[in-house]
Amino acid sequence: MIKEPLIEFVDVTKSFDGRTVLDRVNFKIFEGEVSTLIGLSGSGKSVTLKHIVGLLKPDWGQILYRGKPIDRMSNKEWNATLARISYMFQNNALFDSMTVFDNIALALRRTTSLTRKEIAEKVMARIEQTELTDVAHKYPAEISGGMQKRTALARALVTDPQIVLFNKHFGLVGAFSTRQTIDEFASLLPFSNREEAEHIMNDFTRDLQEHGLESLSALIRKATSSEECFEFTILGGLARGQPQVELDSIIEFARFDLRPIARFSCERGGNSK
Amino acid sequence: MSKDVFEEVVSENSSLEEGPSSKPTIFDPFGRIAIRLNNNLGAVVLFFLRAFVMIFRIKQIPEILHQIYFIGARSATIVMLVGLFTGMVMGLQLYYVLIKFGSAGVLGTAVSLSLIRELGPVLTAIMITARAGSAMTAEIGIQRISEQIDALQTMRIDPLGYLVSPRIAAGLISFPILTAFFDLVGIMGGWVSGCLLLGVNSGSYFYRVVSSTQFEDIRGGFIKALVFSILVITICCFQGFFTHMRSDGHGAKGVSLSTTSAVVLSCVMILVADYVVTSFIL
Repeated sequence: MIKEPLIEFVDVTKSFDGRTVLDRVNFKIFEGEVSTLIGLSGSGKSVTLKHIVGLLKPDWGQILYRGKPIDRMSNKEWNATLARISYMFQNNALFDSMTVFDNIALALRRTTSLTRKEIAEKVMARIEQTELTDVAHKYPAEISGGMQKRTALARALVTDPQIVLFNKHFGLVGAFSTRQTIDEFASLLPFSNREEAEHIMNDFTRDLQEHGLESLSALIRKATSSEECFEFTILGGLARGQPQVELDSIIEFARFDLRPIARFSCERGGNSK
Repeated sequence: MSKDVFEEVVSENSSLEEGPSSKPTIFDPFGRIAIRLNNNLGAVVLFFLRAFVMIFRIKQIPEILHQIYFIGARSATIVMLVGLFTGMVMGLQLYYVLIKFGSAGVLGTAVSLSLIRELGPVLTAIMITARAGSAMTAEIGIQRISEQIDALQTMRIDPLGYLVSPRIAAGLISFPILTAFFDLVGIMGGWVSGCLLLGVNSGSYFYRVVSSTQFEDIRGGFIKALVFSILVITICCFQGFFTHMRSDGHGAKGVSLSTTSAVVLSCVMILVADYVVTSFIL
């Protein structure tokens, strides 16, 4: 039996001001797999992700969700699709006039019929998981960059999505303060085995502390054994029938089945898998 | 999948800059201006209609109350201050005009009618534009350039319903009330300068205010306030919402240009609409 892709790009082409960023991109993401997009800076990884959540529309080609083109979906169908997807922005895109708690609670308040108490419970559970309890009532500008990353992560996960799109998740690695969570996030990276990932991540954490963020690209070059690929975007397609997606289950899941789905480069026309 | 028709219309404007590929003529710039004007007008109308419809959705009340506090309550002091001094200046000016004809007794009529029919709605709208409209454009503009509006979309929260609809509702409620405050305080200002400082009889002043002000005058003033509220809120929100599509500035500079455009355009449209509405009412 042929497995139906969860998300499929068919000849997706997108240009900005005459510059073709996506040129006939084709790939499939299957349910229950964690996939990565790898490519040079400016090669169109973020643009690809924005197409999946409907922030951009292709000039040409189609994006299919469970075999159905998203541009032919009714508003109701599209809303139901979007309800299953969470997108974590590269720059976090936190609502800067709201507290950490309100940032995480907003989607539940506006899109669900949960009571105030139920919302508070769900939000506090995510806040505790992401080690934000002490800053729950502070504004994004009052907390550190790492805490902002964690707030964005909690916001992306609070609606229990089935698909999580992390746009350049690397900041997350340094965002967690405990050794355990750093190791767990290391397993999200596309390395051949966990030992290698842990080794590199330990190096990375130490480098980060000693030399700051400059060592980031050097680390990633080392990790991919390639000079040209130094950015990652992780696409998470989660398992079918999970009653409730917990933060740990995403990490656990990522550990087993991670594969690159598309390798982008700056050479036009060479974007396809 | 939801279609942002007005967004597509606005983005079409940028392609007009490139112009036709062959044989440019001297009429091309005029054609481009006409098409851009037409596109923008259509986009603003669609923007307003979509936002207006979403006022009546559930879960809007807390946001509307918050915006009434910001647009209405927090503008009350400045509106009343401007109303007081406008009334005082009018009392002063009109007294010296009317005394030449020996009719200083009708000062109350002159002050109240000019405030209720014209100056109240116009100056209130301009003051709210300066205080709340500019802040609205800047706030929405910053939310746009920092991807907060995109984040709302990915969270299935319609940015128009969340950011614009409550502001339109709050404007429709706040503008007439603030106009009434302006009129009242302005009439009191006219009494201060005309009666307390220049010696017009207070009883005569208030008798003229009450007897000469008809319901039609007050209704006309409120109609103007409602029209101005729709114009100001729609223009200010539109400018902020489409900050990222400006061709003359990006990022923080784009937000500052949008804020300037919003205030200038709102003030001009208030005066244009004032003439149009007055010509229909009278």
